[in-house]
Amino acid sequence: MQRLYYILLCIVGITISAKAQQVKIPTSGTFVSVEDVVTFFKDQHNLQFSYDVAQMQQAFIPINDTTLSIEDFTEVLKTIAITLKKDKKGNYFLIQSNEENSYCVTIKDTHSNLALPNVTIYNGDEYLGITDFSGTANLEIRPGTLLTYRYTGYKSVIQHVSLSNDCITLMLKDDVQALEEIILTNYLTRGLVKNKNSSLTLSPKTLAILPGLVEPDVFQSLQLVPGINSPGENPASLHIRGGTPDQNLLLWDGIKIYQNSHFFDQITSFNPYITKKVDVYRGGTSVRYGDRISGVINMQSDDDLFDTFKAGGGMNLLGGDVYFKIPIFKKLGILIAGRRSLTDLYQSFTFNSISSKVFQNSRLDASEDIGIENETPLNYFFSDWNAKLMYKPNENHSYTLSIIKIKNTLNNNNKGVRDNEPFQIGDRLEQNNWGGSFTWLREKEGLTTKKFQLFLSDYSSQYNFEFISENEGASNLIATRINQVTEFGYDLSYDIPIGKYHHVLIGNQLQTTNVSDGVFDIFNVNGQEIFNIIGLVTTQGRTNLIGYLEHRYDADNLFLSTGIRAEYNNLVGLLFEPRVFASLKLSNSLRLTTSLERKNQSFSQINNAQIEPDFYNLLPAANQFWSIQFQGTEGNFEFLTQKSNQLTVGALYKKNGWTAELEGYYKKIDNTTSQIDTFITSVNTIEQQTSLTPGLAKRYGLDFLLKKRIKNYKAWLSYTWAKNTVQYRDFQSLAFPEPFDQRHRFNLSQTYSYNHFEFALGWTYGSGLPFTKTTTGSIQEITDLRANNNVYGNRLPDYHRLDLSTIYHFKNNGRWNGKVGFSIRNLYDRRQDIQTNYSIGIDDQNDFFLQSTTNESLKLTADMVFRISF
Amino acid sequence: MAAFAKAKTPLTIVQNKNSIPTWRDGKSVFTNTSLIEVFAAIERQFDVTIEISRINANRKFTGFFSYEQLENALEQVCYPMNIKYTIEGRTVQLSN
Repeated sequence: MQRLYYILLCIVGITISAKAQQVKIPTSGTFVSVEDVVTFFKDQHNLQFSYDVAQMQQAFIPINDTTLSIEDFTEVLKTIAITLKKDKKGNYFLIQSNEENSYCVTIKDTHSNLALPNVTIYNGDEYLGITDFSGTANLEIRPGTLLTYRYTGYKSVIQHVSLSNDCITLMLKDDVQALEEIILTNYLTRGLVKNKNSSLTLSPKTLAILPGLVEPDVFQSLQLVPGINSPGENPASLHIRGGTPDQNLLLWDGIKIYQNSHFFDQITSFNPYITKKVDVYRGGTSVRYGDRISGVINMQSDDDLFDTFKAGGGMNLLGGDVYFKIPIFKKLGILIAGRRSLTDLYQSFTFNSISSKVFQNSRLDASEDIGIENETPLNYFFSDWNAKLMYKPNENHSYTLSIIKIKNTLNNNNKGVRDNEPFQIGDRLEQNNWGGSFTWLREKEGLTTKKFQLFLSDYSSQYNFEFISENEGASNLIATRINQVTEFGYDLSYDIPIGKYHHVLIGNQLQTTNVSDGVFDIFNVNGQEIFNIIGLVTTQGRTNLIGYLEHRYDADNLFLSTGIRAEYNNLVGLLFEPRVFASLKLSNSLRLTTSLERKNQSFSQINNAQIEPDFYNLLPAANQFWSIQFQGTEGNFEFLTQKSNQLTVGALYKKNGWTAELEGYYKKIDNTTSQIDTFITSVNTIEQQTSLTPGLAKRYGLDFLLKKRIKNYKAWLSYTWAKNTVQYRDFQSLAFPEPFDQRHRFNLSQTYSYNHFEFALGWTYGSGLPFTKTTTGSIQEITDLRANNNVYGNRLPDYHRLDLSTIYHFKNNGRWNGKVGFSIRNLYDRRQDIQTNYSIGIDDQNDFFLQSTTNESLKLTADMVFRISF
Repeated sequence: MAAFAKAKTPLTIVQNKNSIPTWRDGKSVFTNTSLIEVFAAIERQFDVTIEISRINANRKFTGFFSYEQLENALEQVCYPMNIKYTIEGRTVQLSN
């Protein structure tokens, strides 16, 4: 009652002294805190104000003019629920009700109008929450608050909350730099863009749902891009336009990685939840990249380490992961992330189904009866770890230290009986790739971008096969396969803008690589050790010095990049790699591109011929070696470099929600190695040939994509026609198809989102891979085959499969995001022969013969995932 | 609320000197001061006990209280800070 009386008094007082008072505001056209405005009135007119300091510091009003009257001030304050009262003595009181208003905002991408999940929201330095998968956040906040929306790769936006907003939509723009280069924001779906230089950029965390995938596995996601696939249906094994997986350059924060997968190509060895972006080149490769003749996959880890503590984690039926992003100071942040298999805790049906694909036709496949008992359940383990320390003294400079460790181990014991002799068999495999990099980067719009990067990568693989007889004095065998790569190097580059349209990139790299291979057996007969070298035992070092130069002309309708990469190395001398890329915009809907490039590669991942007596075999999955390429025998040695020349021509058309892309390519590869092909290596070993003269390979292909989006429904169709042949003159007079030559591949994918659900369905059809049909596998039969030009003259049947996945996103309370997902690969459980491998058998007369095993596709495989992040 | 009628072209300021005859010595002024100190000053001025345990007394206040009357002084501080008060003899209870 008393208060009412008091307020009445105030009003009367004001009526009496209704004289306008005005202040000058130094910063107009922006938001100023109520306390600052009050200070202006105090200073300029000696007025007395009473208020709650914290509230008035956090309440802002828009200022559009250089002056403000007390009346206008009063009116503006009403829009943020603050009342300005004056008592009869001329003292002012500012009162804001204690109530927080519910407020909701939906954030979208300006370019594509698609929702942006995981946008972080701040009130000053205070972290308020993140947007959910539909780009929406619900917050309880006081009117007058200034909200800041931050999202990696986008410009931050500041927004003022007044009483009139209840649910608004806000558009976020890409960083100018990124925007300039993008020509298609949703290449297949959200999270995959096509850049002006024809490369693709994948952002695993923003990636919309894809068929058969509940986790945004980096390489598996890329297999939906036309021209990228895995003919053996292995998620982490990428064949890019007729290139084999070892011909792709894999970079993680600048570290060259030699171990691309966990679980023998079933899971990509890079943690998608801390991957900021992945740049992928199918052609038109920049001069920055070399040493591999096929695609480039350049991955960068997250750099949002400064604002606030963030963490997340998840679990699926194979493993789990967790990450932490810890700001230490405003300019120093740490990222720690780990992912490991949980196969030591439980072996799910997903694990069983995948391992029966990986280990099929071997003694580790529990479903096969090959007279060997598995003593323990399959003992397989994988993990990957990342650590990153980033110091960013200002917007334009950053210093980054990044470390990665990838680890795979298999440790298995089996028991069997042969000729009434009990024995034990052990398979022990350990693969490690660890690496580190240091990067200094200076990047500012309109100025020269300077970059210095140091990296170290260390890959090692060791496989031991143990055959131990339980009878006293009988012979034992230990077979060992060792492979080690150590690489160290730096990259220094300057990207210099010249005028409005020109850029010059100049750089220098130095790399030292050391590769060791060892393939040998140790027999222990009656206590005496016999050391037997089976295959390669080499150690080879290479040092190369590289200089590169590239000029880019970037005008409205034409993008032209011409460059050269020159390399000198101690093995083969001087190598030149000219690169040209052009993109011409004919109209708003049509764009033509072309590229011409040369690339060289000295290291390949080869297979060793497997001699398999009836009583044991080695694990085919452990039979891959990074090796330098050479021909000839001891004393007459020549190092070889695979040389690829590639021409690409393409067109991109988009109109009314339709997108069509057609790209054709032709590639000629000189000096290919036959040692990647188990058929040829086996035949060579049977015939006691040492190695073949290098071959000539050709790749022809057409990649087609058609996409249509209708609101929340998206569908795309991709089709690839490809022809991959190789010719080894002293093996067969005519060229023959490569073992991975898949002529047709067709994919139809559909995704739909509804409320908090996302659904995806994809159907893939692929033509069968070639194989060489043998009956006895004798030398005579193979000689006839080659004389009749019948190597790889047969085809496995075509195959197809249907994949589906669905994700439910939990309602966002502004603090944390969560989701559950479910996927099924090969929904109608079609079992089909998919790939043939060759090895050497020994008959009763101790003669060698060629034998083949054909692997089936993955059976129906379900997986589930649960994740949260905050 | 006619008194707050919006003036598009603000007039020049004229301080209403008549309404502040005794302000110079009749009040205490605070800038960014914690409520603990503000209520302690009121306690001293009016010789009362103010119970602040039920409010967050670390909040900062800018403003004044006048010396004329306890009730006015409390109102002048509690009103902008959204605090309720009850006076029981020589004791003041504060609550949110």
